[in-house]
Amino acid sequence: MPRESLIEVGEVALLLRPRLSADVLGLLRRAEATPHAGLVELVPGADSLLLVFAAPTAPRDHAFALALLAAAMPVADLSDEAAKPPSEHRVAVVYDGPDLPCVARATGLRVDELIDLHRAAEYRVAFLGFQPGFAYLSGLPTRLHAARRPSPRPRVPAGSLGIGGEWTGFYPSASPGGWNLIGHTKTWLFDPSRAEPTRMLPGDIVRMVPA
Amino acid sequence: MLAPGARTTVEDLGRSGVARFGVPPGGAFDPGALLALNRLLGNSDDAAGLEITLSGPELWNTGDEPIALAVAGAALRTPEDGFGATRRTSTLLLPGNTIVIGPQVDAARAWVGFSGGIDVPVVLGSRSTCTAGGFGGIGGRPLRREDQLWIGASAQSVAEGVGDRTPSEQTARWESGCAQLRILPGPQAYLWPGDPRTDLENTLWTVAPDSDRVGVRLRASDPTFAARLAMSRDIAPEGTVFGAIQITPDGGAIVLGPDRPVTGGYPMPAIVVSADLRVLARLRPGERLRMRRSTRVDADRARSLSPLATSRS
Repeated sequence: MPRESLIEVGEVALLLRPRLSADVLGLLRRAEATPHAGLVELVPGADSLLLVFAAPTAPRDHAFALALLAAAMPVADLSDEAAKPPSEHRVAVVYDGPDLPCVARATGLRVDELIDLHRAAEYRVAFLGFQPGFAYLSGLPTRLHAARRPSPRPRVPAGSLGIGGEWTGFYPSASPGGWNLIGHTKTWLFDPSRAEPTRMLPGDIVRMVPA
Repeated sequence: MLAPGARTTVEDLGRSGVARFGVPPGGAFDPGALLALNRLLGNSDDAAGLEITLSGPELWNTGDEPIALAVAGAALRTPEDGFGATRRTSTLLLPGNTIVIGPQVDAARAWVGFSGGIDVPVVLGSRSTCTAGGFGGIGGRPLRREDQLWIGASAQSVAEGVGDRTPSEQTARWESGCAQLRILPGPQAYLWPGDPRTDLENTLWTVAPDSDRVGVRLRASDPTFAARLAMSRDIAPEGTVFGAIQITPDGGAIVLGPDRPVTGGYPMPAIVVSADLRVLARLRPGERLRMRRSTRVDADRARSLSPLATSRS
């Protein structure tokens, strides 16, 4: 599969795909720490970073993006002001989701083994999407990877904890959803009245603790 | 709000700098149309108005002051005009009077501006309705019967905002009765053998009824093209832009609108040029359209020809 590194996306955006997906967070931190006029949004994905500009992209924007890409490195290797210690969240979770038996069947684990494995892992926020405040958490143990449900539920309650393929994460608002629901939390995840409305941001570390 | 219309939301020019929170930009589907209304009415550019889809609301002025309002976008069929299709100029809604706005005749969407703008709280930098997050506008949802809208103080005498002036709207929106969207290559074009824009161009598309502000859904008229475009797998989620064309596993297309998720897992073979996003905003369910490949040079030229076009993410 060809992997290009800098792609023009329409007239106002540039997409950076570093060689390693582990470099996305480093790219994001570097871009956040480097002022560039007209850059309005930084949108990390699973293995890319989208730069969105207020006006159609010009050669100076391409030069900025190429310089970022040339200096791509894992966030742990950043040594200057771009590096900052990650926030850590301990999220109180009750493992009571309706899809526990079905995930257990798909993974060949008992329900209690599945819960222990999920709770023991350390997760990192890779990127946000799907709905406001929805954080895709990486670090799900390989044995717990489970394909999404064949058809989405029309309504997943707010606070639900799900597994979707290699990702796990919480639904901040009630919405339709196709992930396997394994538990829930009552903690706040998204609150638009706060200046920082989203609890979990890319790079943050997340641990599940008993409620 | 005596009747809400099919789907009416409070919108301004949307949010900026909030993708990092997973929040979509929102805002008027055609920001240029709302901007033109605000200038016509003497409002600041970012004053909030209503976006109405398919059929508009019935409004009752329960206050003590006349309200100047104006409509851009679709031509409307209204009782005062004997249900003839008119492109409304600005009008004055006197205290105690009511007005029916719509239904729309030649386009899915229209925008209603009010002198002084709709006064709802600014949330994350905008008054726009974010239905996915349940905030902004009125309760983060489409308007309902008996909702009350407060209109802000007008910067100018309302009489000055009223007259025969109306934002220009090409009556013949597109030639030969078929809408056209010009497309640039998208970030996942490499997933298809050859240029996927060839298949996108060679089929006639129909706008599906489940289209909304998240995305305009299109069905290929020829199942051969749908089958060739269909992708059996998702991609690693990647950032989205306004006008990005996603291909769903069944070979359908979703052209992303202002309420799109900030990242998406469907591959994007093409992007609609920004000058044609106003066409996208007006597409009606059942309407047919074609796609035509374009270049960045042509996209830049097309954009420069629409003076009120705003650059949007």
